[in-house]
Amino acid sequence: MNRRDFLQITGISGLGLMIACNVSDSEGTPVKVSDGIGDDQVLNNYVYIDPDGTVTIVAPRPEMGQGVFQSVPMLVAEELEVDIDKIFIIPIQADSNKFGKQGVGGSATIRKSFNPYRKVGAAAKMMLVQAAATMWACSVDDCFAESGKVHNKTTKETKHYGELVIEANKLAVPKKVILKDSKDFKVIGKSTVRQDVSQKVDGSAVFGIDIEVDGMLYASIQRNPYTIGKVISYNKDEIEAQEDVHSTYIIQIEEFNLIRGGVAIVTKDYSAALRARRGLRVVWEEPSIKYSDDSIGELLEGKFKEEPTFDKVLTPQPKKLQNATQTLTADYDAPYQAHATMEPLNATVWVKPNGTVEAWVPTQNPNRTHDVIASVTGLDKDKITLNIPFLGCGLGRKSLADFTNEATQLSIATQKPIKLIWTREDDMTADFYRPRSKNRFTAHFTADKKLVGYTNEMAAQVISKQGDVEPKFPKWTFEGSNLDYEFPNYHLKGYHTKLPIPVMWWRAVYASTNGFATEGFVDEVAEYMGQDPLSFRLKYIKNERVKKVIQMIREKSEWDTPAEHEYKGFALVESFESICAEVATVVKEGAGIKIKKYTVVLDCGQTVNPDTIHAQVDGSVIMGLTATIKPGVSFKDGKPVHKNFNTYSMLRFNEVPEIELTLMQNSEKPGGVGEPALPPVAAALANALYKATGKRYRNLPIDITKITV
Amino acid sequence: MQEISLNVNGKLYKVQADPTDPLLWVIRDKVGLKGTKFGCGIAVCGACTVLLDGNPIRSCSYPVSGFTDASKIQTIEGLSPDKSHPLQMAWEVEQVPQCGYCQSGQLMVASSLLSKNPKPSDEQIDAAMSGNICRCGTYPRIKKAIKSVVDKS
Repeated sequence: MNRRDFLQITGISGLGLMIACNVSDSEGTPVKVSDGIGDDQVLNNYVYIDPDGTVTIVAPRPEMGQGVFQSVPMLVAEELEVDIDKIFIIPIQADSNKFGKQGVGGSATIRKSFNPYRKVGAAAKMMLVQAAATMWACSVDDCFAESGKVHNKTTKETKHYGELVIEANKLAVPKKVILKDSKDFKVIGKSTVRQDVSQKVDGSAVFGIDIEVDGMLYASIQRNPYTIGKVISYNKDEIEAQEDVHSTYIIQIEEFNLIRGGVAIVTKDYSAALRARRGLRVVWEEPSIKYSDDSIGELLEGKFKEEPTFDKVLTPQPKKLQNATQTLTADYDAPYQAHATMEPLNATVWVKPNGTVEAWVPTQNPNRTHDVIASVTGLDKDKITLNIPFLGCGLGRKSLADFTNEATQLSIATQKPIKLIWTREDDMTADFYRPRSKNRFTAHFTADKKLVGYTNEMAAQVISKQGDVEPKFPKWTFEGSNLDYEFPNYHLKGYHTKLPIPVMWWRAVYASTNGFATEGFVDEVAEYMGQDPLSFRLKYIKNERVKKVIQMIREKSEWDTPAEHEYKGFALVESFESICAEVATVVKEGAGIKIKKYTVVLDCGQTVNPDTIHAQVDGSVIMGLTATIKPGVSFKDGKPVHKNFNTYSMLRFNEVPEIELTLMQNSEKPGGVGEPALPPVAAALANALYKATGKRYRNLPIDITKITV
Repeated sequence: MQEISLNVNGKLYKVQADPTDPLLWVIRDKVGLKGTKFGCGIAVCGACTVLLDGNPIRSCSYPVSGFTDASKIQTIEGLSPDKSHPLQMAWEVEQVPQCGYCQSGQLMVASSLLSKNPKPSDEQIDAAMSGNICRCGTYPRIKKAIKSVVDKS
């Protein structure tokens, strides 16, 4: 196959029908298709067509349960005009030249690459149609593509794609590509069976932790219990004297300007590594201040007395503020959370003596992981094959390449393939946590309770500004705070906080804590003003799509007609370009309460695989509820207290409320699906509990077992 | 290291292992069956569930020395040769797995429940399944899948 330059043109053609396009990566940069596989079956890097017409479509992004193994090929298949239940889907390695950005996270795959992946399919289809037209000596307008075949309108002949692919490969990639109208979708927006599910019911699906390489050694690392800091010394000779131990090393990584060291034990047998760790005695670098929950809380609260790092009034109307005579103020607090991916962190890396690398990493970010291996080995990326097995959850944690870095260093040191597995305790105590967040809200009213000012002060660590860097508080740290509310004098103050606790993106990131704080306080404001929470939102949001979501949930949740002893709480959060409203219904049970139901209404624009969206909403509500009513990660004397699921509890099968989702149907630009249903969960519950108890719950977690009605 | 004999899915395996090695890692790394997963190592998550003489056990917390070839161990690979167990079929119909990592353990517990109690009540299903964690939140679909098998039987 010749070099193909994919679409670089922008600009609408004179016909007005063609859609200007680039095939671009998720950042909008045009992607060049590289020299190709050299195989006549390959139409582009995404589509393989066998001579018998069998179509294989590549899944270019890691699969962590969010369904992209299926949904991205659906986009290609739609425009390629092939039947979704007849194609094969295959996973692929990291290769930014061929596939652009391959990262997953931020609920971004569909919403940022909806059109680019469609264009891949559309361009391939155009080439196949042109090939048929050439072979029939007719015009492309005499042809149409359907179900893996090109049809000749006049002669009624057909050629399946297998008969056309060699001819099509000779063609230049079209500069302009027509995408289908949404009303013509055959695949997009319809639930289809995920091809990876079948492997997940019989144990055959291969996760990172399952990888085996001949001759590999196992590694287990004891990391600094203070979450960051170096190794000073350890009882190396004693450990290495053990028969089962191959070697030991000090391993250090740096992420977000934080250094974390550990002692790695390498063995031929995994259980031997765990046994050897019990005999490890390490002297650790310790932090100058050893924080605990209380001192962290004091530090955060003390920030509100300092100058804010970010200070902006979104809607300055100073005259209105002059009429303020009353204020309502409240503090909200949400704890650190661990990711607790069901598959703990692991990486298998083989730095080979011939100057190449083969790696298998369950990573959310193949590009970053590829770069890190290159950087640690000093090799070019084209010498590094990075395979991406299935991920047993990602949740944000597997976006970092710290664990890949560790395994790469060990493979270099041992000159062997290394399989590094983190224990659950490692995974939970050496996490990069969801940051704890404190909010102080102040609402200003006139004597007759008109809202004339609203201030949101937020103190938290900033993920991109950890370690010894200049403090900054980017505006996006307020994500999920519903900045679209048209409050007069909507004032944001952000306080960058420095703490020696590593933090990073957790599902829904800051929207998970901001959604709780904002929607809890807005409920208080609505109540103060004597307004129904839903009607209050309708007053202060002009966006028609949001209004429709609110009207829908009023109906679906039977908001106006709770049954006896039933209490309903509402929350709405716009995040990741989607709109999600939730009503939590709690009921009196005995002396206490039970969480009966979550009614969810989600507008995520054009859907791709609705079944996946239902699953993601179940997952978001359950994870959000876990973070609302179960312990967060506590710190004591500089160390995380929670080490495993015995104390860091997960919501269990018998604790799940009914979850009912209504998906708004429209063809708007796709919004995020993986995260938006998590931010409203906590506030919806807190607001329901207020109705049940008359008490405001402003600090998470809420221990529902202690609530009496 | 000593030679350990294990009866897994009706087949006899002789492997070299330390007597204290957890059964989980011997099944995964020595017998070579990767379907049984590691989740916590302290028997609270259920990802490592296998059946011992038909009863669910947490293989992460059983030293392999406790087993002889008389102990019949069944792993997810032994549930059926071809995904034909009614639960596996229901799991596919309902599209139960998201990431799928916990599902081997879930299926083993569910299969044990139904083989002992083909018509469990909702409460009995809850009680049996509440020992298995799913971080992705597939519980509602697991319940639906189990109930669909119960209803058909």
